[in-house]
Amino acid sequence: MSPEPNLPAGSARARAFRRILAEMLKIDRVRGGLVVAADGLIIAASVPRGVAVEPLAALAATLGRELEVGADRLKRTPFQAALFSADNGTVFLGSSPVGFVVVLGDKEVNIGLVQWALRKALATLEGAWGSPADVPDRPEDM
Amino acid sequence: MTQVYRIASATLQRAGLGALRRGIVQAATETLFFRSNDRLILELSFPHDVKIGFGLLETDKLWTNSLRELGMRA
Repeated sequence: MSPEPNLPAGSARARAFRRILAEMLKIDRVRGGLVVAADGLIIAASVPRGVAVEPLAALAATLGRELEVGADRLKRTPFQAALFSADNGTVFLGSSPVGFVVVLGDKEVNIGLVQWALRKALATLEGAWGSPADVPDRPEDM
Repeated sequence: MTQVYRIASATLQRAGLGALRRGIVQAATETLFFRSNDRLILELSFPHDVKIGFGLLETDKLWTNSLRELGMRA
């Protein structure tokens, strides 16, 4: 008999996504987050009032795909995580086997802490869908 | 990369966060740091294990010096 696959099934997966998102939202100055499939389908979301979630999910998925395609085009290694900052906050984006994890932080957000938490979340997703990535024990070690 | 910048700008605008100013892309073998304004994009590539603070500092230094060379305001 083949070993049990390491895949959370159905509603367990949905719970795992919501839990990952909830953990990210606990971080100080984090205002929202999304788990979005590569085609832009929203898997889990919590965004600030006034932000339209569907266009944001579509753009985030497009950005993630463009980063993947761009890396391939430029003969670079695939991207794992990215952040883009503006005057009023930062969008963090992580690539996972199910799509992309997006975190929205305000302008005072602790970038190192969110990056570390995002890496942990991505490792959790990779652990459920494949082999987990190594993540340092503390944000300072990144 | 210009295309990535356009989409990232649109994403930030859609999230209500404003105009894109800087970015970091972490890949398996390298980490890219960006700075931009409405006219220029600067991209620097570092080894993947670079400390983020160091990369930001070096990118900021080069950005400031580049703007000075070009006679532009920061």
